[in-house]
Amino acid sequence: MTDSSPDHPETRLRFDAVTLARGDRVLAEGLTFQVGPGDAALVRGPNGVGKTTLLRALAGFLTPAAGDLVLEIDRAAAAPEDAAAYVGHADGLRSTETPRAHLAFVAAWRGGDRGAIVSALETFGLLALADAPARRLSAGQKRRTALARLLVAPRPLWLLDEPASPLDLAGRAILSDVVTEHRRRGGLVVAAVHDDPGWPDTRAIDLPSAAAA
Amino acid sequence: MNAARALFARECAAAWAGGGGAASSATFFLAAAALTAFAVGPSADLLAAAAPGALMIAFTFAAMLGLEHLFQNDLDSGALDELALGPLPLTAVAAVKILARAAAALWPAALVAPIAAVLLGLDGAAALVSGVACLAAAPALVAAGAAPAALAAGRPRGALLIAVVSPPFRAPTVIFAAGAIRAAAIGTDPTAPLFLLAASALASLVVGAAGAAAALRLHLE
Repeated sequence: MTDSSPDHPETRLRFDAVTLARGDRVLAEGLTFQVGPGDAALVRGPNGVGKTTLLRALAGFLTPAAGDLVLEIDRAAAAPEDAAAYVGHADGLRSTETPRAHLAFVAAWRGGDRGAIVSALETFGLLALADAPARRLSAGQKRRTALARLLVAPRPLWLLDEPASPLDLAGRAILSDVVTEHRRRGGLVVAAVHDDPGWPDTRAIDLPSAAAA
Repeated sequence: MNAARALFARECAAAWAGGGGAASSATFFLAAAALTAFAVGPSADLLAAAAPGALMIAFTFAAMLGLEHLFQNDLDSGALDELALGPLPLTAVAAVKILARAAAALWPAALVAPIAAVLLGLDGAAALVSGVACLAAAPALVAAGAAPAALAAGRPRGALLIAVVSPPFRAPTVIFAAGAIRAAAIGTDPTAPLFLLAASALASLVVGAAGAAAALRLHLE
């Protein structure tokens, strides 16, 4: 990978006795963990245990039912919109939108670098499809486009919800390279996974199944 | 500011890419105005009396076409997550989306409002005021349906919810806009109702955007 972006600022994420709930149903209680520069944490657990809820709480989309969730950049509290990039189950592409238009919008919307669009498309092997509307793309190609957002509008904390599931082997290898490069530059990754993505030196956050309601 | 401009451009592109969002409201509006002329009958006096109200009714219903999709695409595609992580608060996101929809889908209909006005027997001055009134009314009419559209996104019969909930919020816009056209039609000064229309449109935009943002937050959880 050729990446001339500067290193990420020192970013830390701390969970202190966090309880996650959907409505009245408690999903996980007493979650405590920390991730710092270069760390990759894999959130694991059976379906419906709250992996997505955990990632959405980290993105600031919902508030934990209890406990503290602290995001710091250079030892000062940071807002999720400054620190986090989120790639969820849905790829965020409209059916008429092309990968190039999508990345151009994300660059303008999140204060990214328009110059990085072509190299991000290239990294994810999308150059030939850059001007095809999303409805013509396969699930894997759409996911590659969504992951390319991470390179166009860089943020230190990547929140990835089963990022590899629609990807082919080549796509998984690209994702692994991109994640490794991100971590080398001091970035953090928190990813919900079922299969081991094969990234080196990861930590596990195991969500307990069937927490008491 | 860059972010707001990018979002506005994205929304306009989406409205036009969807296959004639603008053409369908303009066509619907003209057709409704022409049919009103037939329905009211050959009496010129009767038609002139009914014209300002009929024009605004037609424009209001044109504004409701496809409104249930205002937030649906972003919710279905997951783009709402990306919008929530942007630099603007969700209220501003909703306001930009409302304005973009008014501009891309309804202002073309407002531009043909003078033609519709002439079809309904109004004279030149009143026809011109119709255009201005429709331009000003467009954001307010979208805003009135924004919160129900956000609430209804992802649920069946969203259009019904909009049709049931939004009419009271459209009333001030319809009253002031028709008042301005009527004032011009009878040869009095339409400025006062036009200013009232602009003020109520601004208020609708603020309230509608805040309501839509509250509903969008529920979807984010």
